[in-house]
Amino acid sequence: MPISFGNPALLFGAAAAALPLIIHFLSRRRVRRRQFSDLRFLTEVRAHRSRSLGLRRWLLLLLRMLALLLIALAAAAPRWGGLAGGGGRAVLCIIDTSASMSTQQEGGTRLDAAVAACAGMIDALPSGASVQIVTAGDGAAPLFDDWLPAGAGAVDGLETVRQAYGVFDLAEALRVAARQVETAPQARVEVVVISDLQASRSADLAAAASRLAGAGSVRVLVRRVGDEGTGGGVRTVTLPGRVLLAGERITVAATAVTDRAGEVFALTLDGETVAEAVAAGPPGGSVPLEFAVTVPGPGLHRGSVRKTSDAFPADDERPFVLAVPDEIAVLVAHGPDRPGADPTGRGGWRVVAAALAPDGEGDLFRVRTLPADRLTTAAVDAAALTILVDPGTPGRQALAGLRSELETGGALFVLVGDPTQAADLANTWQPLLGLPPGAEFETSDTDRHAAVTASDHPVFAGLPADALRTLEDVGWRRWFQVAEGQGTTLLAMAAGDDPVLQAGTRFGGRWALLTAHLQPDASDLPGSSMILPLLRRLGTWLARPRLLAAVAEVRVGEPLTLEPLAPAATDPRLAATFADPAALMVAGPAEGSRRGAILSWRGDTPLLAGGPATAPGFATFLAGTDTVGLAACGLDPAESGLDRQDPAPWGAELAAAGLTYAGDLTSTLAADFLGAVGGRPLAPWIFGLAALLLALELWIGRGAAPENRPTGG
Amino acid sequence: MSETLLTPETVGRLGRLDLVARLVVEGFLAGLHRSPYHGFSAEFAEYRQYIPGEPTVNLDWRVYAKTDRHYQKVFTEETNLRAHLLLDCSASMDFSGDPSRPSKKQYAAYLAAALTYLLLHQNDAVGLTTFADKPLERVPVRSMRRHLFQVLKVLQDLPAGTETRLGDVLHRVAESAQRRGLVLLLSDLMDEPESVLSGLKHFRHRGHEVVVFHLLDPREVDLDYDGEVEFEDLEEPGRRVRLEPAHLGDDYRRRSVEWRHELQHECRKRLIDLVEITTDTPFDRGLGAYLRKRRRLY
Repeated sequence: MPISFGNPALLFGAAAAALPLIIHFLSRRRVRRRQFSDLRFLTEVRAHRSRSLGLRRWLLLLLRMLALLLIALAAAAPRWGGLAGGGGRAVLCIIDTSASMSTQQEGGTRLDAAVAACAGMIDALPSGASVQIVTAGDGAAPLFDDWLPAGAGAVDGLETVRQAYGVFDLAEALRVAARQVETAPQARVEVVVISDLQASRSADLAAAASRLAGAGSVRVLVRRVGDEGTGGGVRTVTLPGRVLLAGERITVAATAVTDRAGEVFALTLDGETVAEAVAAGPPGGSVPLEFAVTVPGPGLHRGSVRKTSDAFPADDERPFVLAVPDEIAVLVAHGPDRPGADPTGRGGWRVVAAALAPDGEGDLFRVRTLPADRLTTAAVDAAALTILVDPGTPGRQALAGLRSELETGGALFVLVGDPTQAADLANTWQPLLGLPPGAEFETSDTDRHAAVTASDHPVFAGLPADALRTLEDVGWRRWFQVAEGQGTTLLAMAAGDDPVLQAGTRFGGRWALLTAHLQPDASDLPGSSMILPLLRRLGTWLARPRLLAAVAEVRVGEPLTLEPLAPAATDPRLAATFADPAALMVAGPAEGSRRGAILSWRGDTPLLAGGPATAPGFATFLAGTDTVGLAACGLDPAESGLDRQDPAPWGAELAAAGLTYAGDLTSTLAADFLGAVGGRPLAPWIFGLAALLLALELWIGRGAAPENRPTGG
Repeated sequence: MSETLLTPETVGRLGRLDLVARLVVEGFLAGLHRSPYHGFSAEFAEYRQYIPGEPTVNLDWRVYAKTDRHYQKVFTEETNLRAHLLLDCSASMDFSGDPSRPSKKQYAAYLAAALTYLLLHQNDAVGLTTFADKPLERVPVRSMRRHLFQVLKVLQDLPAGTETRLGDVLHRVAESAQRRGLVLLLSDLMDEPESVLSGLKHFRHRGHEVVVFHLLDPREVDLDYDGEVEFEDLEEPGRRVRLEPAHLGDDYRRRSVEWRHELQHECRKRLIDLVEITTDTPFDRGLGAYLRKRRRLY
């Protein structure tokens, strides 16, 4: 029965309907006798109207009883329909607290509207219903420790709902809801999802829905809040994917959604605006932005791309960290020189060392050269990048150290130009890098062109086109060929599908292989103007410089984890830093947030964890007063998207998983929504009907009014 | 003051009819601007000093010419009016809807006493006949002042009522009234209208002027009772009717009004004055009705 009662106890008042009947029978026994002068008219009247009077008496009695019955019914606050019919149901409200719910609209934020809708819903519920709230914005959690009876207490509890800046994960919310449904005091539970339905993460929604369906008798409704459309924002910021050199001119790319044509976006570094870009696209569209920035000095720099604030300020600024190392230690291991006129002779390592550090001490690269047969693990560990130039056959210990370097996130750059190295490569380097066997190969004098095949790779990104052409036409002379390896990236390709420069990952570390002869008397490359940019860019892309602080970029809601902080724990500075784990703290990104960080070790590499990012901004990892890590926490781009989801596919998915999907309440007005949740109040109608019956009773049974009374004279 | 004294509730507490009659009449007369019986007769009685402010119509200018003083002539009133009071003493006249109010019979007695007092003070002749189903007591028509007490004695000792045969009684009284005069009937007219009107017509036929004081209790008019009531007929004890006046009141009042209107209409056709008076009505209404009739006659 779709009728529920707010005060069912008052239904006992219906017994009052018997009062007129009781009074009627009691009054019949109390007939008064009166003498009268003449019964002529009384006798006539009684004879004439006795039948109709009897009917009218019973009609009046019936009307009075009905009126009292209706008044008692109305006092019990009946409602027609509603979710918690008869108070025999529990209502679980899932409130979306994700970042998009912070969008400003008339009267507050979307979250304010959601909380108000939830409060109104709770108010409308009949007594006897139970309420639980699940908030879902950066994870999902129940708001109350246990189910609360519908009423003021539950409404007051809504004041503790806080804005989060993660993604609304409906699947996670349904899983939490399932656990709550299992403890619900009523067997039937209505789950009302109040959300702006923007950027829900619901990859495993079906499984979560199935879990909820199995938890009890559940029905799901959706109430979408918030006005259509959001303001623009900065969606992504992309830095060059390599180590940046101080003073270097780089291009920072970003994508943004504009509010108006010609909107100006600004890039700030350490609080100062260093570049601006004008959006060229139409309002509401996603536009690419480029900022030309000069890399500041070594250190960690807090940067952001921002726009003029709008109704959704959370995505108007996207933070990033610009890490500039103070130096990159490079180890160049080489085979023995073979001076003379032999065109296949060795000695290219000098070119490499000179390119990175012309006088042995570069501005960034600190180069150490070492014969390959004296290569040690310690020497490899101490370098951020190991470059092997025609190294010959390394010893077993050296190979183990190189593999360890890869496994700990290190990098290898191998240059092989000597055709006599083919056998060595097949026996030793091939297992290390996972490449096919090499072969001797001699470039013809007429075909020395090589094409750059990945111009957007960090090694080449930002280089002007004429620089790339110069590189391609440098006159590549080669005596050695290695086919493309599985999973490798071809950066430059010579004629005949001959890879010249390829790169890949192996054991977790990066590697690059350049099969070109670098001896000045045997190749045109050392004499090219592109030798320096090529080697330095390869070096900065491959290198894992030892930074004083770790850098990470995370999305709000994701865990703050920094790794690796340093390649080894043998550094006395690192050892001192992590000597007291209790002093490790993480501050931010939420304003005023400060909590302990967790230190763990992977091998000799320290790992830091600081819990989930709760807001856009920067999270700083501290060891005492020293900054040991910096994480830029950006809003999930999906949260600032313009697309709002249609509840219908959700409903279909939920229904497919066995849940009862009761419908979308989005288009209903606020009052209708409350009516749909709590039922339509019937009391006013019943009171009105009772009043009508009483008026009818008065009209039928109106008393004898004195009239036509003689006045004498 | 006069208005208070004239209410039935007030005079009912006095008890003595002579006192009631005098108070009612004097109070009534004091309330009039001009004595209704002033100048009815032209027989000179005496002179008296003129008081400035009085009308000069009766100033004796001859005396003034002789004595240079203002004297006014005073006339003794004289009339040949013979008033015959007929008072209904049937059982229905014993009805009183409220203990604080007099019964219709008591009210009729007070009104008859007041009329007698007034008539005798005008030197009119007045007589009284009480009746129920037949004439009961008869006081002959006289104009002497002491005759008042004979009338009051009869009014003081009115018998308990029996059933009404108003038409028959009126015929019998009309037959016995030899000289023409003014017939003042005080009754609730609880009989068949045709019978009542026939009796009244008989008086008119014999040359009498007739004034009917139709006495009713307010509750007879309104039937203002709560709940279910069993009514018992005063004239036929044992005859009862049970009903709820709240439900039947409209119908009852409609029939009552039709009855009274019929009586009014038929009396008017026969040049009979019918004055409806409820027992909560001050007596001056009845006295006023009489005086208006008196003025038209003489």
